[in-house]
Amino acid sequence: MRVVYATYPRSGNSLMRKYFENVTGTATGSDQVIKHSPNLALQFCGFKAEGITDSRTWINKTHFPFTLPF
Amino acid sequence: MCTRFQLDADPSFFYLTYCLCHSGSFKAKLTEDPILPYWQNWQRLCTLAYKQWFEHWLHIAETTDKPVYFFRFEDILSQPEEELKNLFKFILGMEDIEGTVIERRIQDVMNMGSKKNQVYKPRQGGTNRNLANYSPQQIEFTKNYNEDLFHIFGYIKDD
Repeated sequence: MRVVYATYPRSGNSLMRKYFENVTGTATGSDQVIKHSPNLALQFCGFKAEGITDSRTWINKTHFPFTLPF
Repeated sequence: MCTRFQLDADPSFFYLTYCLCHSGSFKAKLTEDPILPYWQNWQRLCTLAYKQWFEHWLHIAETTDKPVYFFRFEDILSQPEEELKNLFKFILGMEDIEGTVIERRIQDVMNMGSKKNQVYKPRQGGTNRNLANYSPQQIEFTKNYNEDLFHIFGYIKDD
């Protein structure tokens, strides 16, 4: 079973991912493109599965279907 | 799916987009030049985007067999243990997690201090601390445009 953790941007998703990772002991994934600096920063901050949504992860963050409004 | 009151999320999102980092902000206030016109335009567009985004997930919950659990970021801040227990009951498909390993791990995490949830130093902000960034016209437009969503998620009290 895979879990999609959907949030509108800037709604505390990193805080919640940290809770998920501490409680489950597993890395949370995300569908974010790792080449952008804010997403790369999250990987450096400890989210080792940033940019990964395959079978290696259980709970995956997404902002889908959000696109920047310009 | 996690919700947050739009008037708290928008300033943080504006800073992230224009600073390209999670903790940075400007010395100038959002309500003053030279930032003001960029902020007003951004916030208006975000009001439209906020509606589209939440209506997408409400539509998924209403029209598909995919189980969707809605919770509020504000509740995670105010009562994290309770919210985490409810969330893991949903994820694991259990009516009660009392006495389980996951309940014990939640309690262990609650005792971790700031390490339990902090990834980076958060920007100044928080819940209901952002109204000074908005003009009365912005607040009126936002509340009118997304009134239904604010009612659904309990950000505006029903009459």
